[in-house]
Amino acid sequence: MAVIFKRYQIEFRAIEQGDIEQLRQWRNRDDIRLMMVDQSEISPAQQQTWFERLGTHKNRHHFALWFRDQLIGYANASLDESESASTGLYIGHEKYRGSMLALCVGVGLSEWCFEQLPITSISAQVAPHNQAALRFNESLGYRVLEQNDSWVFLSKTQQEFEQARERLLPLLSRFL
Amino acid sequence: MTNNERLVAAFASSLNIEASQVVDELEYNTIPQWDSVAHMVLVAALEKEFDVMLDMDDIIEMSSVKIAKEILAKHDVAF
Repeated sequence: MAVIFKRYQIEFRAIEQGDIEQLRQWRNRDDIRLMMVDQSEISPAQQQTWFERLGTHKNRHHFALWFRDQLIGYANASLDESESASTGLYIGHEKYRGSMLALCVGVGLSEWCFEQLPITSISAQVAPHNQAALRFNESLGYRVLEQNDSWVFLSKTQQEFEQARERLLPLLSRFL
Repeated sequence: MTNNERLVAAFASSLNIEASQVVDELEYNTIPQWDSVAHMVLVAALEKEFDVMLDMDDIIEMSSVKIAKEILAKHDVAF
């Protein structure tokens, strides 16, 4: 188990073979899958292929999320274009779905991106009906850039993120 | 105001719901208004209203109005 970094009690670990079936099952749940850009169901074989190719994803970082020695979800960060990254995450563990831990992951992941990647902004893409995700992202400093019938496109600079984090710190401090 | 009335008012204003919706059986994530962002607002409101400091476990485990009362009771807030 390789911990890549840890923030707010969340360990961002390298994904291991033993994680992938649980991640696949969570990823295929309707309440998670239907919020993604690729909403297709993933087969065990597809998941295995994806896992075996992780090492070749030079500009894409994948993390298994662990809290108190339990796998709770997945996150990624991609360097999509010059100076901009995009991130994605889900909490699959039933006990922690929609909990404050999602904010811990969101803040921790954004911190890591701005520290480790050569970027000036982070973008996100959310379905317009996913009001919870929109509120979640806005609490992390994202602002809406544009919107169509299918997607809302959001972005934040480091300064916008840090201003948002400042507002969250009174509660995040309990997770240090 | 009783402590129960103060708690109901804190829930109603934090989640932007009617006071009549704030019953023991109301659970986290069962209504759109009580999501992770609203939960953060709620925790801050309860801490201010009752002058307590909730820890990480309290914040994670506060998954219903009933449990919120139990957690506040641990901090000597009687209902």
